[in-house]
Amino acid sequence: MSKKNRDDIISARRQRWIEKWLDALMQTYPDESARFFKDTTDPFANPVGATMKKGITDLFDVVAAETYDPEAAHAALEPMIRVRAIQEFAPSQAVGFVTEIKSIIRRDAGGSKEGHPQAEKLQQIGDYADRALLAAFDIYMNCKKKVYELRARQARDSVSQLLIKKELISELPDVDPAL
Amino acid sequence: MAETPKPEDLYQNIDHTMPDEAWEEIPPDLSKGKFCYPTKPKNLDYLDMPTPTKEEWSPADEEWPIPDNWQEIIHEGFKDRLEKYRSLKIFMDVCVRCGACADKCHFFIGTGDPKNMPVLRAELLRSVYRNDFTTAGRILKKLSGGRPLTKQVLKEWFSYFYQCTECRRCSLYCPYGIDTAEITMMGRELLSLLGLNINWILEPAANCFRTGNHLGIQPHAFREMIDFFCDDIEEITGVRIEPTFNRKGAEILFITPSGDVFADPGTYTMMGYLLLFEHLGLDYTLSTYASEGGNFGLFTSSEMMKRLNSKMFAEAERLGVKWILGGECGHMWRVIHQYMDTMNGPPNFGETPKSPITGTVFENAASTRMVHITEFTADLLRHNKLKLDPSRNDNKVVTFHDSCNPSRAMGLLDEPRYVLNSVCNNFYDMPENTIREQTFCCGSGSGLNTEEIMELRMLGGLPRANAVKYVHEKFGVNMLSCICAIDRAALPPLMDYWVPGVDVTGVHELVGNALVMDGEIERTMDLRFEPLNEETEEDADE
Repeated sequence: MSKKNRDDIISARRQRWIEKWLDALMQTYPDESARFFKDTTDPFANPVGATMKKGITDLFDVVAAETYDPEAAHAALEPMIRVRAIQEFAPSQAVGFVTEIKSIIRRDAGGSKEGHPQAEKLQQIGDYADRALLAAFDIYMNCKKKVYELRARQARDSVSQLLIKKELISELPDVDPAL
Repeated sequence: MAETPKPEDLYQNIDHTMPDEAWEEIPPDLSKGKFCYPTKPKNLDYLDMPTPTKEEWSPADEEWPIPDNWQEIIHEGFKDRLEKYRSLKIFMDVCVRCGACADKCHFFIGTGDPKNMPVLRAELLRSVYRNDFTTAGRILKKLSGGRPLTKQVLKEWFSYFYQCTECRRCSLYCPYGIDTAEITMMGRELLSLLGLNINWILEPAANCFRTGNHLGIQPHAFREMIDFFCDDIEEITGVRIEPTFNRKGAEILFITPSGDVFADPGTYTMMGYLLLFEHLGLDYTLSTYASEGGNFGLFTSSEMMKRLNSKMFAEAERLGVKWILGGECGHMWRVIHQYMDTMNGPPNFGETPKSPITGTVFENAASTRMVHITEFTADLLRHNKLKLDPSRNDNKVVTFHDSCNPSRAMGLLDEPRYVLNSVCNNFYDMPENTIREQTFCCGSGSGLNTEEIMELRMLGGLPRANAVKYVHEKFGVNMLSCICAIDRAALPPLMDYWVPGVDVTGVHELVGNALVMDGEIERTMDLRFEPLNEETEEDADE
């Protein structure tokens, strides 16, 4: 099968797979909330839903591309993981949706056999999803570290300026480059 | 600092699929990191509040230190309040569960927790009301949506009434005007009858009684901090300002939240006020007694709010001023605008505020004698009384966050924008459904600006941050202005998490930058000691 035909298969199913992937992601939320996240289209009234919709769409194009683009993967994943890192999820649940595309495709393209050109492409999508999962984990950890840093900074900064200005503590003065 | 819980403690076995039980059956999550720390008993004691235990305790404990007759205390407290506040009774009876409020709460939008829908938050209280105070509820019990007050319900109240910032966005959409903030306030009042309040609220309240402000700063230190600002102002502008303290016979008493005196970036806003008053030659004084505009009584009980608020009138009367000018604060203005007159009015001093510069009489402030500084400044600008060089703010692309209380509680929507458009050249508003009356909360108001619930604060602030991100990407906005001290503390970490590259400022910091003072030196730095533009930086390097 030519590359063009393979791409046609993907593009014909693109929208359906994206929707299923988004559904799988939304299943991690309570029904009431998932309904709101999916149905409210105004991105300012529903930032979580808008972030997830755009993120999954972009992520699909990353895993379906001919070559894996780490920067595009990061751009697609970052906004989604930034939200999920601070929602009430286990770390595995926060990033687990990334590989859901594998089972969606497996179920949907059940007829494809090994050695079939389509299977090769589908295998590649799965491999790219695995790479995206690892990238998601890096992003997740950075977000968590950021929250802990903010927490520590608030505790530290709440009175530090006061201590300095009251001269209860003395800092080294800034070095004047002219001296 | 908060103890950092291990991920496995926090996230073990959390399942988001819809449970089989009804919502009433689901216990609140009070594991570590999911609650604000309860108040230390010494604060309760100092504030003459019920203090059931002298020991420190945790909401994660199975048994809470509450008196044996706690149900009776809550029941009687509820009954008192239903008789005292007609609004509460109406709010309990009138909700038809239409759901208009459901998706308007920033905590629901961010967390996706159904109990953060305002309708369900109110239902926490309403279900007990039905059970205890309505005939249908007494007979039909659960069938009419009633439920008895159990320890689990009490824990649920503690969890969810401290996950509401009393921002009142939901009430804007309610066809009946049910004010969920007032429901939360009642919930917290009832919890406080058992000593169940949080430390981030009661410690500032107790400090306020003792030393006059939230941080517990003593009068001499308050004065020294202002002197430091005057030193900085002199270095930046060449102008020496000598404000007076506790001066009898001044025309105006100026009161601002203590955050403006002790916490960056509020301190730069304080420098802006000082420059403005000097520019005008205003006859004003500062007080080391009424050194706090904020009022954490609003988050505790109406009695506490009244006691803390009374200091403003008492000090104005003692000093014999004509009226009070108030700084940029959020909940301070809800208290002044909506409750002060009823609680502590009518004032025994002064007259209806009149600007000594323009002659404008602020009839809207006749009953409280208090004028908001952005109204005062907008009036000055309207009468061309200020010499300004807005280009000094050209390195800032500014947007404006309508703080919940000044916007929704007092309708202060156009004055701050009028001021901003006069003092800076690059101003862009955020999308319509995120500003003015529909503004999204910072996620940390009403005493929730505490570090142990940082994740919740970031999620609650997401809708606000999302709108900032939009103008940041579209117009290059790098400065988020606001007129609230809690915002100035809460928005910097929020920006740091969601929209790095956007800083936070008070409106009067930008006024201070733009003001052309008599006898000033050439300005090369803004009030943060940062170069005014790239060229200045290069000049400095040379």
